[in-house]
Amino acid sequence: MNAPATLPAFDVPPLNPDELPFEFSGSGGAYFKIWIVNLLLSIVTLGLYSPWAKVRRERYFMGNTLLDGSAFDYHADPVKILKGRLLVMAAIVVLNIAAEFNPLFNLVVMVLFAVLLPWMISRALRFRAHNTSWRGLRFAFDGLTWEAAKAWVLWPIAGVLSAGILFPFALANQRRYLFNHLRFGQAAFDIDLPVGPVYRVFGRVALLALVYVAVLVALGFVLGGPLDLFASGAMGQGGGREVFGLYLMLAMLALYVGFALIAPYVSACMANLSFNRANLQNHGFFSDMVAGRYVFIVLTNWLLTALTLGLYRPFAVVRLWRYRVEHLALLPAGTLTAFMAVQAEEARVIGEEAADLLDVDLGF
Amino acid sequence: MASIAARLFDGQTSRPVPVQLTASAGRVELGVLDGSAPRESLAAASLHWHEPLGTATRRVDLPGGRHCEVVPDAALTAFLQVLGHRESGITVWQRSGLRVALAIGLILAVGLAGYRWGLPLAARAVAQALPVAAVQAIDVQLLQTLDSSRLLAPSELAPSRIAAIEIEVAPLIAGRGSADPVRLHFRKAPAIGANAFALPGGDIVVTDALVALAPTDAHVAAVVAHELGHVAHRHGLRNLIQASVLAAVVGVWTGDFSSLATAGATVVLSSAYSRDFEFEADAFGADLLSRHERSPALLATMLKRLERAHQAEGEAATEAAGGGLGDYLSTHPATAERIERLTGANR
Repeated sequence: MNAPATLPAFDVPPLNPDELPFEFSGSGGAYFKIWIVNLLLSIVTLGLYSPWAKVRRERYFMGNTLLDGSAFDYHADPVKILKGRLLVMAAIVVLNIAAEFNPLFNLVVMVLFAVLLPWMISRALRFRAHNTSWRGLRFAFDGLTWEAAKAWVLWPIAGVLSAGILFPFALANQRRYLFNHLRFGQAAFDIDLPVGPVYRVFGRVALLALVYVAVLVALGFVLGGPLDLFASGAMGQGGGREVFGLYLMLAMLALYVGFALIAPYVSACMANLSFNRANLQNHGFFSDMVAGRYVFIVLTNWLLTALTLGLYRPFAVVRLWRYRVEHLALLPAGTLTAFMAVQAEEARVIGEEAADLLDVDLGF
Repeated sequence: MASIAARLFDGQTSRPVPVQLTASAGRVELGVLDGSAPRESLAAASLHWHEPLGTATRRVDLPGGRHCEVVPDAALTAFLQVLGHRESGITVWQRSGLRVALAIGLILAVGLAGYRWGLPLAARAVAQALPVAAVQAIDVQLLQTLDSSRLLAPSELAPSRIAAIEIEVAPLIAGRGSADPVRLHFRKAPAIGANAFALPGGDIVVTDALVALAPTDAHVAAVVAHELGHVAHRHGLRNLIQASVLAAVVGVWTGDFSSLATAGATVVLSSAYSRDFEFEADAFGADLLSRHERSPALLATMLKRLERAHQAEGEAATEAAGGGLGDYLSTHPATAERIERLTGANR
């Protein structure tokens, strides 16, 4: 991909375009070089380099993600990430060892985790937003721990207790939490996401899962007939048992892969749903990912990563990110030059709050 | 002198301002194209150039919370040359295909060496450093869990048989050159079949089927001598440490795209380790037996019988395939090779 000869700002921009697509200018090959050097340095430093690696990775992805010709940027201080990671790791090691000696600790750890998780989520979102910028203006996030607890602990528990029926409430609440507390400079994001459309997504998932299992069972009957003949004829009793075992294993694998694909399917649907219902002031968003295509990308990424013993991973990450970015657009209500930074004093307070804390990769 | 076009952002609004940057002898002149602000002269050292990101616009921070976006083209290269800007070592490293290939080679070498020598050495050091009492606490838990599961049931051996075996084993335990306590447990375990295994903290479990398989109590003692080798070398603990590290590394490498794939790869990778463990335990057992005027052939006989017993159960189909890949994939190395080593030790 060639860089444009001039910066887009020097062209005369259309006064009010209907749609400003997000663009991605990175490539798998370029990211592979960053990834392999990151990996080497992380290995020889026994992982101490990993925060620097993370910052370089985020900078590559943010720096190649463009809106209206301007890239996003990532500003996190690797030393702060390192401190956060050491803290989390120490806690995990201590708790795991404690649980090894006294099983009662397992319960304590679980409760502690349920209490700490929402706090870590709100902190991580704050850290991430504060360290992301576009055109020199920072994002900010001010969601409270209690609301994160509702979305990531209480609603999921309700979901489990109701055998999954209430689970869409958890997802809807998580999305509302992510968008409604996000700001860009002085401008606020907001989202109007009722739970109805989330239920429709889950309905589709349930239907697809049902069809998938039905197809597997039908295949089983079709293949099962000749298998019986084969087993009792040529191979004898012992061989038949082995073929049956192999067959059972394949069926289990197919089921496992099928269910592992539910997460990316839901993820694509939820991204469409939330962006299409979100606003930044008067500006809207438009996301038109095709869930089936997204699932196909995820599946082939897994296969290629496994076949190349992991070497395809940087290409896989770029491929998926590119698909997400290139199916997202901003629907501008006017010019994008009027966003304002928050006042210096407020920025200082936000910065200090965000700075002292954790950066945990939550995979949003 | 070299000039480039750029977009300036003041950090207060999202409005891009077209500017021209001109480099000369350690200074950069900043001129706003529409002339709405006076020209500025900045020290080149006050500019902070971000890492280049391929074809993406390059970012440079200016004093006062401002920054510029610059297209990374030939003009920028010339501009940076005039300024005498030097890219960071990492950038230089990444640009060269040869060095990237070198990085891949280094990772492979470090990975293989770490897998073959580094991890086993580290696991041994950690396992030997852990206090016995701490490891025994793990044993108590493990045994309780196994006993409450359907895997192990109380032994149905006659108390006199157990006592006879314990008498046979006692000198081996006393003479193995360690004061760490060892406890012998007898259990009925139909699901496991004829087998004996050592827990990390020195608890050795012998199944009823194994005792039934042994021609004499001395044969059972020979198997226990092998298990004492596992205990002395702390194989259980080392296995635990190695498997957790492997799982973590595989998870990081593959990005943990699937817990099943991670677990599978971990099992395959650690099976090569357990092969070394079996040889080590065999050597320990053979040595222990020899020092007590008993023949290591007792252990070899038991290995033969165990293999035959497992084959009869149809469990050892892959193991019977012998060397080659099966050798590395099976949890126990090909029995023939172990027997050969044991009878060799006898001579």
